[in-house]
Amino acid sequence: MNIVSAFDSVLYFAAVVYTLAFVLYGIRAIRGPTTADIILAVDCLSFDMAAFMVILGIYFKSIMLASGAIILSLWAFMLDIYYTKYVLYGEVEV
Amino acid sequence: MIEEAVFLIGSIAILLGAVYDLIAAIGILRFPDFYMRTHAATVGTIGGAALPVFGAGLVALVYHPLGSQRFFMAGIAFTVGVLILVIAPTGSHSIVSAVYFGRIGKKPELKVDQLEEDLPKRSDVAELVREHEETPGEEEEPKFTFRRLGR
Repeated sequence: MNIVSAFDSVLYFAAVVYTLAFVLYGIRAIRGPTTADIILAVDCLSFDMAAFMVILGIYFKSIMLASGAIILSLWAFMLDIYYTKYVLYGEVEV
Repeated sequence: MIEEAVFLIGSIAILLGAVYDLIAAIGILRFPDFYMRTHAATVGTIGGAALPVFGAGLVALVYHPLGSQRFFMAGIAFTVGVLILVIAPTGSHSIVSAVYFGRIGKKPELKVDQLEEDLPKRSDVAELVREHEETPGEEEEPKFTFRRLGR
């Protein structure tokens, strides 16, 4: 079994499914009835983008692409916490 | 032999994670209210993001075109996986508590709601606002004004 060509076919399937999922998340992020729905959809989008960036980093042989995933997942967490503090306490203290 | 086994486990994790992600996306689009959408979203973050990242780390360990960079790549992948495992449930929980206690949107029909007595009453909120209201006349005089400079 050739690992490189097998990984290419795995990446092909994963890219198609991930793109479909991104489109569906994007529809919910655009037409969500409340702001919480939008935040939730963007949150999922960020985590999945982080996962997909790690997989793409293996394919493109670049560490720099994969190290952006750490920042992206931390950013999604920051979004959650800021939204919670804004709704419950009315202000965002840094 | 062992490399192929590790690669097989990693690629199965990636494919399973992609399928999880699609299921979560369909759920987040089709479910009727916010709390059910949160259920779909947590499936999407743990099954659809943490699992394929661990799989990608296993694949990166045996992917030889990366050269010696593959250990860095595996380290980054496992770090991101642990971060998502810790962060995603915390964030979802905080968003749900903000929606419940901040009364955002419409609450669905519930048969049992044990948390209802913890919700802030309208009179409590009014009292809090009255406590923090500044009464006119008691304003502190600013210590530094431009007029004082002019004299």
